[in-house]
Amino acid sequence: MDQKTAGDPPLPGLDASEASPSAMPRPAATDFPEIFQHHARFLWRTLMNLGVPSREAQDLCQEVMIIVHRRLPEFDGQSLRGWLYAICVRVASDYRRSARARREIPCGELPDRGAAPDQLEQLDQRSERQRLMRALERVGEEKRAALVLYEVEELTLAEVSEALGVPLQTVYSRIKAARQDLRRELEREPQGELGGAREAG
Amino acid sequence: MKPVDEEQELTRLLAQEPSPLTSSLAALRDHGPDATELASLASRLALQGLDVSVSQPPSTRANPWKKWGWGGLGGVSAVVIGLALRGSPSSPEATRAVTPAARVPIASAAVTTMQRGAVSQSAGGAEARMALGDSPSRGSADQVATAGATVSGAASIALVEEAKGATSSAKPSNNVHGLANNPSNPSVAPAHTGAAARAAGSSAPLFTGTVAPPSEMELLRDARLVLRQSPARALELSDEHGRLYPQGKMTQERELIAVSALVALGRRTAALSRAASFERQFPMSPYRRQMGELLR
Repeated sequence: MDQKTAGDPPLPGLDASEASPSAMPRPAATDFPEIFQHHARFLWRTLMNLGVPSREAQDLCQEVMIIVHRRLPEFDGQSLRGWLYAICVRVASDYRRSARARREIPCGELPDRGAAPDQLEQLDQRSERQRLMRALERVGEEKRAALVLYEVEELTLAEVSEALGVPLQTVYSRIKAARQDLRRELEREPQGELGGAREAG
Repeated sequence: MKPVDEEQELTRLLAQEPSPLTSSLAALRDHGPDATELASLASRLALQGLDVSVSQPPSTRANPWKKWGWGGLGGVSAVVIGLALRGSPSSPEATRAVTPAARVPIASAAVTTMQRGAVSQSAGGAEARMALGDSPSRGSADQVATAGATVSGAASIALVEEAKGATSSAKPSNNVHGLANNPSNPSVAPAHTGAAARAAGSSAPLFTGTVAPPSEMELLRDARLVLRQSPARALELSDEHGRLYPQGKMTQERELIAVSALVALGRRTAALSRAASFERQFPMSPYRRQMGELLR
């Protein structure tokens, strides 16, 4: 498993303190507890980055893990991450469709626990994240998924291709288009209060 | 467009020069659950019969003090404190009356004992706590899930199967449920958390004001343990959970147990009603499928 990711090039500019899924130890076996231990956090994060609000993320991550458990015997052993994220993307997509049907707008974010008001850096980071999430909402589901999996989760193009069930070339073009869209949308997004204040200062 | 066959053709944004976009993307990496939330997820999965406990390394297993240390020390401490306070031999009630801090290891040890005897745990599997911290940026607080993630979910029998089994069989069994329900088993009954140990039919209030209430996990674990043998008691325990934790984090698990118990008791109308209420309250619940299977 994960043979496809074994040759990932190192990422210049990233130090060890950054959460890099491709840098994390890979499970030696595809048993369910190992998968939970190594991937649950990242699947949860991906759900949120794909537009699932934080209040729903645990339920949906649980659903992902249940599906993983049920389908683990069917896993072909080729690319665990591609397979896992394919389930994750499907669950997030289903959620978003149902959420739209219920006329909910999944863009809210619960306050971070433990973020004291005087912790400007955390607030700044959160503000920036919310700004990006709003911009991502307008990028479009398919392009967004390709972008998140490649840029944030650091899947290889081949893994993204497997996760999304589309050819490699399509992944490539979606990521490129998503970057353009995201840059454009971010320009439209106003800076957060803190960011604006700092720039003014 | 050129064919895509090399990863390097599409340099990742985060590998490029810092820019507002790259800093925003980096912020997404801090978006995610903390250790407590992951522990809660692990507990929910364990309650559902999915074991997410990770085997401890051989070095841990080889050391008997590490294996028995906390449970044994907690148990001995609890007995000593209990004797000192009460001046009488420790009974289940006396054990429960000890401080909450002492109660936890006892309950853990008891459940571990029960699981070891009933489900043939691995040699060192005395309650594996999950190491969840594989993300360096999350800090040391995330390195180990410490928020009560006792996910030694070895009793891996799906609730659906339990409920269906309960409807068709009232025979005693040698499984976890039988042990939990068998007061003659000295290794289990005296030290159990209390709820399931009384599952034999007492109608007395489950928890009094002088006794530290069980945690959500303990209550629902006990309810799940007795579901097959005594669905009525499981229903009582789930109702007790509702009283103690009306806004609890395991409300969905409670409702699944309650509906399972109602189905097992043959109270289909009540089960349907409760399931419908569940559906309204948790339209995106991962338990929808199980609930549907229960009521099929």
